[in-house]
Amino acid sequence: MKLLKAIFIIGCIIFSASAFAQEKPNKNQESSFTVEGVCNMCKKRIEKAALIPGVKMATWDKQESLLKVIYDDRKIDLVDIQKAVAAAGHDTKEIQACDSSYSALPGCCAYRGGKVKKH
Amino acid sequence: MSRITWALAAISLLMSLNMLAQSGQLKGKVTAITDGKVQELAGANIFWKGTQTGAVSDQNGAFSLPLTETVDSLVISYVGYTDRVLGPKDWQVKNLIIELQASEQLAEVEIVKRQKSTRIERMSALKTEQIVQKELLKAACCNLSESFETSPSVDVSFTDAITGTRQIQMLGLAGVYSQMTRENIPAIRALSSINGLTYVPGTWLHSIQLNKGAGSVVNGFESITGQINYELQKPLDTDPFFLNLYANQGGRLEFNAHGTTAINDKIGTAVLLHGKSVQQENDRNSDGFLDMPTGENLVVMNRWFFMGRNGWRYQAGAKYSNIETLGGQINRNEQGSLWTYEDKTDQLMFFAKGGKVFDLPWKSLGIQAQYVMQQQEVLAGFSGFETLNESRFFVNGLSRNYDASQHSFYTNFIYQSIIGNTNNTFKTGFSFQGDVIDEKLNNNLYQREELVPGVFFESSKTWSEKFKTVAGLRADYHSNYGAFITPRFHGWWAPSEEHTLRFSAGRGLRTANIFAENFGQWSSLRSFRILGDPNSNNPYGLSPEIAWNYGANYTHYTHLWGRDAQVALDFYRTDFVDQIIVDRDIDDNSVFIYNLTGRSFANSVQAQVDYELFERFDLRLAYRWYDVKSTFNNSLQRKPFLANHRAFVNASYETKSKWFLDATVNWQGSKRIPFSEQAPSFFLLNTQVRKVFSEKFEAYIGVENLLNFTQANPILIDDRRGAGGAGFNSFDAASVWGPIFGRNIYAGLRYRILK
Repeated sequence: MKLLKAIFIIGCIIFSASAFAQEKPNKNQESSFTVEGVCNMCKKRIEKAALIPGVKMATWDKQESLLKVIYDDRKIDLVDIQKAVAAAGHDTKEIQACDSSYSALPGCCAYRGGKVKKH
Repeated sequence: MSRITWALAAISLLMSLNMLAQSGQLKGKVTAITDGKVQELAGANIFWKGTQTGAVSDQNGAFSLPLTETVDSLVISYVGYTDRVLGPKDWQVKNLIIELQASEQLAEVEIVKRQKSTRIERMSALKTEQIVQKELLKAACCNLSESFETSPSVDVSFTDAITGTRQIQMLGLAGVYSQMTRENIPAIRALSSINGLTYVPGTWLHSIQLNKGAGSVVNGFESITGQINYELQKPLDTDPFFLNLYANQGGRLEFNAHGTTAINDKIGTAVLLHGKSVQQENDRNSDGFLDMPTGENLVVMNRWFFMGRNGWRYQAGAKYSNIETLGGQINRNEQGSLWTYEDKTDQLMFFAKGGKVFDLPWKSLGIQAQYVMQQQEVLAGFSGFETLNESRFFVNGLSRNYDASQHSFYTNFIYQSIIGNTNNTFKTGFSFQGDVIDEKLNNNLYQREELVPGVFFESSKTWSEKFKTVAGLRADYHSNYGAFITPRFHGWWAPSEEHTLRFSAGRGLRTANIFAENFGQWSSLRSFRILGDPNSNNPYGLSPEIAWNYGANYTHYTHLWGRDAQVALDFYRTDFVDQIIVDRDIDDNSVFIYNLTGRSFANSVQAQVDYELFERFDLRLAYRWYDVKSTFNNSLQRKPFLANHRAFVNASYETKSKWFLDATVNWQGSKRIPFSEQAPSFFLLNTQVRKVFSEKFEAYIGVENLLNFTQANPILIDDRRGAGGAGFNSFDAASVWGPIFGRNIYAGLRYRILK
């Protein structure tokens, strides 16, 4: 019984330790999420918007509509980046740009509605 | 109402009308016919051509967008449909309905874009001209200095008949003021700063990066007018086997080969070979002297690549060069001995590099080391002379017996990362450069030990999409000259995609190798007088050369009649704080070598246009103006042997059946020659025809100096008196301003086994 108890306790410690390790904020967290956009002007705007303090690198792939970021997980959350990108007028995976910032986009960057031609 | 009130009312009415016009909206609907039925298209893009003003059609296909006065073409696009462009007549209608036609099935678009042989990187803060292999193939032959013959930014000087060395010039100043690096390790410096270009065979070159003006601080403090980096063929990167054979009318035969093999997926090696032989004795102008020296070159290199663990990569290699050159008199004079020039050089070089790439894309570190050992013997003068009791500051004009050895060591460590985000990167590290050089000239020994540890930091900042800067600073401690700093700055401003403006400024410092850089001056009876300080520990008793370089350049990328055009304008100024002056203006029997006593500067302006005139026909036009002056014989004078005006045209055409035709015309203005009349201006024309028979095999034939222009009397001999045993009392082959040999036909072939 004592042995079982010991195994249980050790197991708990290892489990919690590994859980802790997983949650440990990473200085250089790599992540990616979808950002809507159509052109190279969008690319510049998205990358610029994503580089909020704490974000070290942001690269947006036009064809995939995917923004790759490396950021300091201790300082900011992924959703902060998404908010910043959405504020610039681009819908992200979790945050939608408000109509006022979307309508501020130049015409060629309009990505909403139907199939939009990447150019 | 007074008139003023009326006027105000009229103005306000006009203004409000104007406002109304501006706030006007264009409304309409986008439709398409699908399966025989008219359907509204949602999500179509509608915008004023060339602007960012536009709209997207809603679910009913309706859109509204602000009217604009400046543009009258409206573009409507939707994926799967052909774009439509409407003019004012089309859209100034009531109930605007735009019908789009479904586009033909997307045909595979064949992108026909030929690789440009030389291009200027648009986004880089430093103006770097990339010269790739395609450009290098245009050059007649065969080593690094000759590779610049089709690049207007670098001048290739004419060889004197005696040494046969081709020197390069940048911004109107000798090639020694530009720093040469081999894969970013300083190369071709110290004793080999002139001859070293000959030890780099053209077929070994993978590419050249040319950067005019102040360079980066990462590679050292020596660059003044620019940096030339050359990349050699790398293991695993190049063809498994390559062979080039070349011969010309002057009897120059060359053999170049390289091959690479992968030992396994982590180790690769490449072997590079170069052999050159000139046995034919040419004396076309019958002056009793060879028009070009005879001799043999052998250069061998073996390099390795290792893929390590954890992102580490290693490279190592060794190169051996053996050069033998024999020039001078061929007809044995009955009265005495021959004037000869003989150069025997052995150079051994080892290098090793290690680099680590981290998981984070912006982070890397690198360490590199190089050791060069060189042994060189030069005899220039009448054989059989032995000079005794000559002063350290005087070298007689009859016989120079030179025996030198060089041991150079270089290492640097570079760490690269970011501050905050990738718009703010930096490189930092340290370097050590050591040169131990012993030069024995006649009865004197000139020894020097230059040890220079240094640290550097360079920050690259992207301020916006339109503005970038690179600022660098290095601090070095030189065992002779003490501590000094080297600041360098580069700015990049691109107001639009078509226009790029760059600025640069920076300082450089170097030790002049007064003998090795002036072997050409030994092909005369002039004596050397060195005005050095006998109490100084500096090399030759002279102070180092220090200069500031400032520059601005503008590159315009545009389309002319539907084809890409690139226009580049640049201005550079080099201001010498101190310089080693090689002065032939004091008297015509001496070369005075001393530290600058007055002003010395070089201004350079260049305009260049690159344009594809029609399909596969590339044209490059360039004009250059130099204003290079130094204080010679106590007065500010034009630099001798340098044309103030130069023009350059290169045309190349490639046929569909893979014939490559190439022609380069060079025009050089008149030049100042000390104690003589101005040298005339002249044209030079080089042409080449190349046929690619298959991916494996190609052959070429060409003519250098097709117009057969030559300098009259490149070797001035006055043998009226026959002084001493010499047979002549005046002899000068060191006043070369034009080609000596005349028309020279060459041919060669290239064979490769593909990967």
